[in-house]
Amino acid sequence: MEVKNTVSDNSGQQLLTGTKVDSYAAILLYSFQDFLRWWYIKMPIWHLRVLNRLAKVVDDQLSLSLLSKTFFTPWHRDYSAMGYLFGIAMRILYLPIAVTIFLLIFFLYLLFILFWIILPIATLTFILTSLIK
Amino acid sequence: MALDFEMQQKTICGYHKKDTGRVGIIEKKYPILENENEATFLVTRDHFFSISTQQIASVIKNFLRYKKVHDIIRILANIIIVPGIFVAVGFIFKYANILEDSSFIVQFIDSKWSGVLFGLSILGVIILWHDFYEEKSHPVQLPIAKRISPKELDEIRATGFKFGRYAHLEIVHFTNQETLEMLCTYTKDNHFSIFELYKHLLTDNFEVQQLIRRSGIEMGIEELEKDFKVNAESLPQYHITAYRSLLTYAVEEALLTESKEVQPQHIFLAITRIFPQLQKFLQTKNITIDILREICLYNNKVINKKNRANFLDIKIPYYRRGGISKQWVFGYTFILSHFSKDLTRVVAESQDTFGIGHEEEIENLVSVLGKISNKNALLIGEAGVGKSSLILGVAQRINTGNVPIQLKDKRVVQFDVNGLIAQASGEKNIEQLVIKAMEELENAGNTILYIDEMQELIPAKAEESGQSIAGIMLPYIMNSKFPIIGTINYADYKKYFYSNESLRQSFSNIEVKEVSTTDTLKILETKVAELESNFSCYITFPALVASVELAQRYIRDRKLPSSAVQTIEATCSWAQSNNIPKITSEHVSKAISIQKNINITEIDQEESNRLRKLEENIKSRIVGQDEAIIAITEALRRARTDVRSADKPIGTFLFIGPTGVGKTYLAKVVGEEFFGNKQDIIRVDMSEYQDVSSIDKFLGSSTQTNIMGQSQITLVDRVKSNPYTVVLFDEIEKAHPDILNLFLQIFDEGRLTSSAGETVDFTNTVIICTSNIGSQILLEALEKDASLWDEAKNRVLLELRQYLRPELLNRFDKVIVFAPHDINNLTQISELLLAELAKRLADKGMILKWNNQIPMLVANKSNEPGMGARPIKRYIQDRIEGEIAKEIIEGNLKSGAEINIRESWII
Repeated sequence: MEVKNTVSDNSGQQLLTGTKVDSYAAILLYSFQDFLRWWYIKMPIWHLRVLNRLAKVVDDQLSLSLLSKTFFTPWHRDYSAMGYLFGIAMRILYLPIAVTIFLLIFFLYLLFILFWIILPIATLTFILTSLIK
Repeated sequence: MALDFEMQQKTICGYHKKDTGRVGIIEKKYPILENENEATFLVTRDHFFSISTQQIASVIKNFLRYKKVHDIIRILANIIIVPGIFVAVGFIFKYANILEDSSFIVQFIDSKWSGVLFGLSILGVIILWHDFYEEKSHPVQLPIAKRISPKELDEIRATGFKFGRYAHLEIVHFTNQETLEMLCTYTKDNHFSIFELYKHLLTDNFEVQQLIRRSGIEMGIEELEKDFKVNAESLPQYHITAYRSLLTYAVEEALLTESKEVQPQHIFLAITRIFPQLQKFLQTKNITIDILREICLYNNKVINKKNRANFLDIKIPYYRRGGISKQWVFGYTFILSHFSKDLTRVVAESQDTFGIGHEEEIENLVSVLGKISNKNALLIGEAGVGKSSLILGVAQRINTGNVPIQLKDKRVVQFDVNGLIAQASGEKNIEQLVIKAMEELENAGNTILYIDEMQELIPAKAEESGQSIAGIMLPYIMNSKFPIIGTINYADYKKYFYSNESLRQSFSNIEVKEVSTTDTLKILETKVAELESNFSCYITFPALVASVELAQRYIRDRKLPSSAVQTIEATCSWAQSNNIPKITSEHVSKAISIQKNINITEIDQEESNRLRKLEENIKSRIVGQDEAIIAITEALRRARTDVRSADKPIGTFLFIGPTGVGKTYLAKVVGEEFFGNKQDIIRVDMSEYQDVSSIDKFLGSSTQTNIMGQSQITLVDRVKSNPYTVVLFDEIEKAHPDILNLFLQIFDEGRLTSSAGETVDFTNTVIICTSNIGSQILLEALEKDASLWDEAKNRVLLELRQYLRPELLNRFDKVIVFAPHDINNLTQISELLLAELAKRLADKGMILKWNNQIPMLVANKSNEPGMGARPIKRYIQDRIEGEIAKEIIEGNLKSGAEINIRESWII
């Protein structure tokens, strides 16, 4: 079970200095600030790191870098003219498909990050527009 | 427990007295410092941990309030989600035309409030998301504590702490919410009761209960209160300033158990360590704080293992594996794939960790495989030391990418020679298949070939086993363009590799040593889940520890870890067949006792009585040799209670005396009384080893044959097959001095290395050597004057030194001079031999009777000075048994008949 630590964060002893959270109002205010910091700073950074990892994983799983680096290597080390030709042909056929899949996954996640950033504002806007309507 | 869990020297606890400015190391006793001017801190190799009273006070003051606010927000968020769901469902129904336009729901959905409610529920989801995943974005995790070198430790002791070199970390940041909540709940008026806290941990905390369950003990608060005086007085109340000490020790426990945060179980460990009465309780249960830590460590590993599968987890490094088109750049291996196993794939599919305890050998192997030339490696080691696991360890490192660039994308393939032979239809076919497979290997470019039992491919060995593949493969092996890993044991290496220079040069040798007990325990830990699921049982941690310790001690014919793994598997299997759901250390002892036909379980009442009466029992069978009997029974008692040294034989004795005084018979009786009737003693006639050339015969193994071409059963073979016995070396003085030198190794280290390089274990044997040196002196002394006996004994011992070297004599536990039998002893022996005869006749339904004069008569009539008790046996055979046999043949004696020994038979 993962248990989170709500009394502190990496930046220091926000809650433990005592001055900031000596009343319920201060706790609420702190919680709100903490939420904003988490949603707009920490999580986007975390998502970008995940995106970086995702790119690495997809690239590896689809053998993109490997095939690009060994573009002229013959098919299954068959060092005949046919082996070279077939190897290059297979790569020409395969790489565009793999790159498309890679880009699709990459941009989908990027879109998700964008969605993440606008979600609270969009929700508030939606509530306000609903009220005004 | 003898195991060293290697947890020390990763952390140092220190104290600081602010008023005097004194800083020191806390050792042995762990104090709880309440005084504000005194503080505890913790140092690892790279970090310095501390906590202040202000931080504690702030947590106590605010934490519960903060949690309350959070709980309310969470409840509100949960509540506002519900209408949002209804609105969403309503929208779907509306646009699916399920609802009528005029219905109340449609009107509500069309109103502005539905949008507001839906928006609020989205906000609720966002809040809950934040609540649930906050940790993901900024993990607060304890660093891994690295070992502090003895040099650094000495420096700290000599010159004190240099705080500037450490990164400062606040303990409170690493204390998890559950722990803080517990501490806050048990604090009243700035004071807390350690006893109440401990009681709560014992009775209500799941992790602590799991810890205790795995340790295999019952830890009830009632027992602690009643028998160990664990109460509110012995575990008193403290001011909250004392939390600094408690949390410092708790963070130390967390670091030692490689936890990511301070959890309640670490508070439990810290309290246990502080209070001696709690440690005393654990001692009575054969548990130490180190074992509890190891269990905690094991639990953490289980959790980490579950997390390992997530390749998107940015905290875990990702190693490239090549992907779906990796094989395009490497050659085909159609035939090879058919007769081989891809170990890199096997390892990838497994959750286990391989190569534990062989990190150094793996490092060596990786560097050999990465070389440009001579990249073949030969792993030399005894069976069971983990050679295969080591290779799987290399495959695992290749999989994780933690290898040099030249080994990345490589795969380790185990060649199945026997499979190839079995499937090929003819010899030509085999040859073609092997050649094709080798060509594929050369072309593949990414394959490391692994050949188990490498000696099978050496032509000399292949001839013995009738294998025809060796000659074909050998040239490829010797000029290989691909890396090869082979495994072999010492004996075969010496026999087949050592003499072949070119073959020897083709491989870099890597010696694979037996893993340590600590590493064996780690290996067993990796198998617990599989064993528990397979045998439907629960394995306690002491059972694992016992498996390692007992396997190391009693299963000497196999090496660690294999012996320990087999032991725990055998125990699980035995427990399953006996419907035992929870395996403890006693069950492991029991399983080994059954498997090896020895007794290593706890001594029960019946056995305790038997051991106490051992001397009495032997005395009832051996007449007149009390000194020898006492010496032997003492050694046997030491052996059974494990007081003796485990690295030496149970006992080593030299019996001196004339023939027929009971030297050999005592050895047999000991064998029967201690090792059980089934075990025959091993008797070696040392007069067969009189010249120096017989040393090979003495050290020989079953590979040697006699003149008839039959395998000779040698001492080495017999001790290997029956290591729990009495070994009797008769007439030791007749052996060649070089052979006697071998006894030094046996007596000192409890082992003997055979000519084939095998190590034979003697630690579970009683070694008795006999000699007739000085018999004449003893007999003369007894004939002339019994009072000269002590002088005669000394003369014999002096004479002994002329035959045996002092270093050998010194290594005997006891040199015992057997007294020649006088007429009284001979009468008692006659009585015993007649009783034995009566027993044999009773089996045939006949009753043998004799009067008091008969034994004396037999003793007098049979007595031949200097011949001991043997003539009595012959006399009884000739006179009494002969007469009875005659009567039976003549039909005078039938079942149920009563036979009275007549004096006429004897005279």
